[in-house]
Amino acid sequence: MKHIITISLLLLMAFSASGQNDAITKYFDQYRDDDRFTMVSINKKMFELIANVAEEEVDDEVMDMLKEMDGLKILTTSDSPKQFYDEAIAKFNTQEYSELMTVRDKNQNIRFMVKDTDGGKIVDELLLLVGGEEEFVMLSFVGKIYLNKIGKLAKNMDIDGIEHLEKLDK
Amino acid sequence: MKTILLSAIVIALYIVPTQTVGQDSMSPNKFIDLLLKDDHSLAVRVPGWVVRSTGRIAAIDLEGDEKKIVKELSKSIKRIRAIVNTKPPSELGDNLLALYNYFGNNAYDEYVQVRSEGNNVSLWAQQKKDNIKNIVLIVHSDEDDSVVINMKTKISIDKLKSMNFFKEMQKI
Repeated sequence: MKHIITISLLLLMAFSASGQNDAITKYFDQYRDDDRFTMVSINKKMFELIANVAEEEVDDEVMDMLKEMDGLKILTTSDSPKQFYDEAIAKFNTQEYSELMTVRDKNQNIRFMVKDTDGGKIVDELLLLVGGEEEFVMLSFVGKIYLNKIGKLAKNMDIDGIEHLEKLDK
Repeated sequence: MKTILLSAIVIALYIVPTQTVGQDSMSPNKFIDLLLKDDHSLAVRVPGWVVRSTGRIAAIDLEGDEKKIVKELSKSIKRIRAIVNTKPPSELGDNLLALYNYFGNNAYDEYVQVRSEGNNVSLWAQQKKDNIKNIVLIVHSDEDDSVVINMKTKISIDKLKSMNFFKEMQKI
């Protein structure tokens, strides 16, 4: 009986740990099929492929980052952007993140948040939220992210919403 | 023994529901066959030798890395099947789910997904060691045309690397 309880507890922990992951995924899944949003999802395999194929042209740290990138998710909309921004802020457990930078720019709030386990210049997740009169952007980069290189990577990606990451270079 | 049996049951109770959800599975070829039954469909099957010949012809006017890429890539494609459906059938959503289940069961990875203004684009690939064996591109929307392209390939990552594929892509 003790074994069953132990096994059950271990399984429960494993499932709840993967289920915890997380408010952002839930929020993303909630709106990924919503016509008001533009959604982009780039997965680990794509980053691996780019890293493999682009090896000689890209700077070493960007290359390391590409190899260890787990995914990029972007949601953007120009429909009720302020409302979606407020909803995202309310739903995400922002206490899990450290505030990296906040910019108030032309009636827009831009918040850069990071999840960092070792307190170094490499972070595990970068969350960007933009909310204003014109657009709402939620961008989540997961992997080993070199903050000093993310702007450079963003410059090489032609995706709506990602240009906000270039602010990290300034 | 009883403990082991009970433990096995407990484990099964956790695992079985996650594996039985969405058991319907449909391969890309079956998916195309099914869409083909619809009056609004147009399908094409291009064998590898046609792709290679076309690649050779297309490469005549090209130079340098571009020429190499077109030649090598056309050599790496074994077969292409594509279908265009001008009016999405009502059961498209269910069939897409079955197709995604097939991808899940057969080690396909979703590389990219984009959804914008009602259009969905997703790129799936099956990679074995350093070779991309199958590529499926799905473009569908609720109102407009849907396109499914299923490619059987043998694209070597090393080859892509050697032909400066990324540099050429950046130029585009």
